[in-house]
Amino acid sequence: MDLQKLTLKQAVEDLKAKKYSSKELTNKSFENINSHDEKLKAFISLTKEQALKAAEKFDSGKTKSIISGIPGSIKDIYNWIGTTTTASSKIIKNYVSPYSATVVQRLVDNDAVIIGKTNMDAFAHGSSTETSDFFTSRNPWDTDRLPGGSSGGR
Amino acid sequence: MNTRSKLTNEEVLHVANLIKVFIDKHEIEHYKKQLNTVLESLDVLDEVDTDKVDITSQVTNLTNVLREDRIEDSLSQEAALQNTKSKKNGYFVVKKVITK
Repeated sequence: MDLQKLTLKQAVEDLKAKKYSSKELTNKSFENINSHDEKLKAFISLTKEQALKAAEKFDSGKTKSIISGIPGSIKDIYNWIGTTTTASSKIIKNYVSPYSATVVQRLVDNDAVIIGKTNMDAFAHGSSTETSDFFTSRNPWDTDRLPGGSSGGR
Repeated sequence: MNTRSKLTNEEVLHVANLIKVFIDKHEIEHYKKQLNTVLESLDVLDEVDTDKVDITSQVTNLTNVLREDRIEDSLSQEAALQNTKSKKNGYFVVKKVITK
C-alpha cells in the first residue's frame, strides 16, 4: 500500500474489495505522518483515538456513508468538540473546542475517519502558510517549496 | 385590454389630501389630466400577453440552505467557560475597563 500513489477512488474500491481494512489504511496514514511530518509539518494535532474508532466502525460494517472508512484531515480552524482548535495561532493554542462546527459534526455523524487537524496561516489570513504562529508547512512534492495557503497543512 | 381606468375627480382630491397638497376645485381637471398621463404610460405593459406566464417571484431558482430557525440547546455555562483561566462565580473575569 503506497499512500503516495494511492488515489481516493482506488482506496474506496480496495476497501470495498476488502483488500485491506480501514484500520490498516488509517494506521498506515499515521505511520506516514511519523515518517514525513517532521519535515512536512502539516499537522498541528492528531486525533488517533477518534480516527481508529471510526475506522473500526467502518470495518465492522456498521457505517452507511460513502465517506466513511477513508482517512482525511480537518483544517485546524474548524471546531471539533474535545479537540484543540488553534487556527494556528498562539492566542488560542490551548483552546479546547466546546462544540463542533456543523460541517465537522456532519462528517462525524457520517463516520468519517479524521486523523488530525492541519496547519494554516494564522486565522487563515494568508496564502502561503508562512504566517502560521507555529511552523511553516512544506510542499510534499518539493520540500524546498511552500504548499501555498492559507490551508498549507491540507 | 386597458384595465387601468382614468381617475375620477374624487380620486384626484383624495390623492391631493393624502400628500397634503391643497388644490382648488378649478385645478382638479388640470391635475387629473397629468395624473392620467402617468397612469397611461403603464399601458405599454398590455402589449405583452402574459396569460400563459407563471407568476415570477424569483429568477435564480436558489433555495434556502440554512437550517430551520428553531431554538436548540446552546452551550452550557460550564462549556462556555472551559477555556478561560480567569473565571469566578460562573463569569469571565476581565480587566477593569471603567476606572471612574
